[in-house]
Amino acid sequence: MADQEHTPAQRGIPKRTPADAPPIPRSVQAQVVVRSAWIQSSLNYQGMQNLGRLFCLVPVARWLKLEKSEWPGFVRRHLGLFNSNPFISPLGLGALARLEADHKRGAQPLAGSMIERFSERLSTPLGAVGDELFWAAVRPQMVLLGCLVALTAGMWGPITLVVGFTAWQALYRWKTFTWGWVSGSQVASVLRDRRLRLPAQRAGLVAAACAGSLGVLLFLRHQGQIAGGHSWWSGAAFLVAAVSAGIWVHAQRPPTWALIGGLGWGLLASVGEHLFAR
Amino acid sequence: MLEFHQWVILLLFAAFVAQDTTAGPQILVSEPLVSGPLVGWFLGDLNLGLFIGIAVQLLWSGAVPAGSALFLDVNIGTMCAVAVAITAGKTLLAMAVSLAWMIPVGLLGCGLTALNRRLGDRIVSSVRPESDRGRLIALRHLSGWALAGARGMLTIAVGVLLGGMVVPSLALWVGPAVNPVLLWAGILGAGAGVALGVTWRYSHGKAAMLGALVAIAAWLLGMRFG
Repeated sequence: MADQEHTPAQRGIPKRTPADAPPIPRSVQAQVVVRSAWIQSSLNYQGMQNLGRLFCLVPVARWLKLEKSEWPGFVRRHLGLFNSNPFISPLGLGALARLEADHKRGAQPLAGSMIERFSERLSTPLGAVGDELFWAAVRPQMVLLGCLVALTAGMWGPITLVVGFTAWQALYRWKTFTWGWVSGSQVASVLRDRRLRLPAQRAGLVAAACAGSLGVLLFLRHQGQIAGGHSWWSGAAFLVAAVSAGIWVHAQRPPTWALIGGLGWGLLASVGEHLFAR
Repeated sequence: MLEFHQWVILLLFAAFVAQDTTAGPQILVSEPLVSGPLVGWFLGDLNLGLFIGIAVQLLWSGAVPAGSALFLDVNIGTMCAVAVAITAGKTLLAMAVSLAWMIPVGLLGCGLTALNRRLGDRIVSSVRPESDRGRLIALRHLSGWALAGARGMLTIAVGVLLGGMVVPSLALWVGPAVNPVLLWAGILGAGAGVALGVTWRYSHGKAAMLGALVAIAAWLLGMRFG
């Protein structure tokens, strides 16, 4: 029954290239994927990543050998609103490249505003899924892992952050372009697939474990470096600042106030120490 | 005071950090944990840069520098804090005050980012579909990348020049009243709290508790055998 209810296009992340998806040269895919790292260079309020999207799709237009008369239409089609998370933007770019290729082959005519409507509808889920995956899970994971390594092994921490995050994003950029190309206009089914979000949950658990380790290590190290009398006041300032900042950020408040709060608790502890020393 | 070659390196690196933050390639060299120690290394104190980098990174571990959102420019702010702390004497107090100086510098960066986006609107409206082809499109698009670099250079120049005057005076003024060790206890505590608060939703504290137990066990083993 389930198979009858779901068309092949609704099955989510494609496992292999369907027979009807024409191959795209790896060099063209590589050019689009590399360019997608700069998709936000001309980020603007009106069209967001519109010029970035056009910039990324230029290698596809060259591969399709657009005639001189076809270029103005191509440029206009891709100057409408486009907004996505930059790390999974190749999913949308792959789908758009496929639409352009099908149009060129004559398999699917492009109505005047079809690309614009398609891009606008794709923008919100591309942004939401990508932000949940990268900004809310993968970045905190790599950042906290990097801090943990930095506390124990110095400069290996920053190296872990850059190498680890670059590996994550390179994998996602390449894979999502392939999925977008294969899915074409059915790309929304990839965004609905929970397997796309699964790594976020796992990365989040690693990030949480790193946060716990970091809290303990920072406390023990800071207390261990203090000689004698400050330790009670220092421990109190650390713990009160940690609890208040944790509650503050958990309630989605800006972290700037956590810094101000930390300085404030340190200042209060200083005053307390002065008063009790007398 | 910074020497001429140090200014050149700092400005060029600030340009790249501002570009990496949003404009590309977003390989996270711009994150405080990376940019802090690199600036410290350029200016002669890697460990100070790493220490400030870890503190800021923890505090902003959950920040989302997503596309249209405007946020405090902590990446350039961290570079500025490291440079100012080094020029202000490398003391714990100077480092804590430099961290506070990061907030106005970050706000300046935020304002300039908004201006950058408005200039982006102009770049897009300059596109001529009838005549623009691949190279011209790339040139127009990447001019936004160059603008992001200019934004970074301007922010760090203003931040370090003004910070060099403000931070030592402020440190001198608050110095007698505060214990810098306690200030840092508050800052690091806040950083640890932010990291826990940001990741709490993934397991409601269970994974964090496990991580904490592993750290305590490692510390006890270190005490016993090391």
